[in-house]
Amino acid sequence: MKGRNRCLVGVLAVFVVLAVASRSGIGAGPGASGEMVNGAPIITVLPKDAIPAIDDPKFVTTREADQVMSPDEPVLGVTDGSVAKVYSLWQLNHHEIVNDWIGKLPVAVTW
Amino acid sequence: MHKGKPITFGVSGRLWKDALVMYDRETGSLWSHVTGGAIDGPLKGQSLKPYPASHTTWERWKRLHPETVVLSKQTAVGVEGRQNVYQDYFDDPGRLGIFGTRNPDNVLPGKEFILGLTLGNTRIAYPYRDLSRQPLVQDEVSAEPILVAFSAKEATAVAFSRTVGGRTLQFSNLREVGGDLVMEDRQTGSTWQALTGRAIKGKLAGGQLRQLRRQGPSGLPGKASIRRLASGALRGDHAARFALTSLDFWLEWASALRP
Repeated sequence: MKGRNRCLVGVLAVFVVLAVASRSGIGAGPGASGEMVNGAPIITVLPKDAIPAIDDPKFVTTREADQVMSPDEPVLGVTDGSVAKVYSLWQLNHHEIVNDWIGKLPVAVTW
Repeated sequence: MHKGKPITFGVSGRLWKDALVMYDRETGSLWSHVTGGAIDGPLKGQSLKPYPASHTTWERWKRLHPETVVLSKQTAVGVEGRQNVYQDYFDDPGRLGIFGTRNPDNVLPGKEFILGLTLGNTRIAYPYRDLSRQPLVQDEVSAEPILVAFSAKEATAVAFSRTVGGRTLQFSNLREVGGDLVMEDRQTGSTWQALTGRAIKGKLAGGQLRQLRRQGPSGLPGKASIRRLASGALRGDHAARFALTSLDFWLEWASALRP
């Protein structure tokens, strides 16, 4: 990995939107718009589903993936001992959630 | 599960503690990505169960799991995710989140990578800077003997229980052999793959260490004990209050949550 690969918990698409909003004088600062839960506000920054979660994900083989993945690309991998699935974090930047299954187990892969 | 069917999640467009808030399509409840708990709505108070996941590089994962399948990057309009659109954010140590959140203390930089674990009532964090110096850590947390293995090359940290088949093992000799990070157990001399916890040679070949799920704290805000490591010995705990708006603390909770 080059240096430290900084990974962010799935809010970065929001960052661009907010930057634009701030420039035009519309800001959403902490506490600006939300109810409090455990001492911290829930803040609305985007409409629901502005960032589209993935449902019914499709998978490819390592050979196919090699054409579109970099060796140092950060990924999130899961395995139950028989099935191994991996999700690119650069790709999850744009979706944040994948509704998927590991074998018979329903999982949400979140970033 | 909700009414016998798995729930599905969408992105709510909201943030809590600087992090993703999901909503479930079945009830509209809001869920925190970092704690896995529902924070609002009809399912408030329920928790998703974390599933062990590895945060590593494509190259390393492919080597560990040659039969893996990969989420397709193909979309109707082309290939997505070819680069990190947030590289600038990643590279800026001063920026924490989008609201100008500040690092609450000087124990660690705000964006320090950590491996966080919750075991029993104990929350513990291993900073990557320390794991870089001591990549094989054996510890006991909440009466559970654990192991943390770290690969500096991809900044990958995984944690396992050291108890297998009713016996607690001790490990040593962590090293790279032919592209694989391996270690031995002192009890039998078997060789184990450090990032998968799988024994690949020796008497215990085929054995599997139980991977510990990285899990966020369930009560917020909380205290986490940072294990500071120095040249082979554990220094005492340093209790530090992590403001849970520190985004890199959340980094380690990027995990597969089980509905």
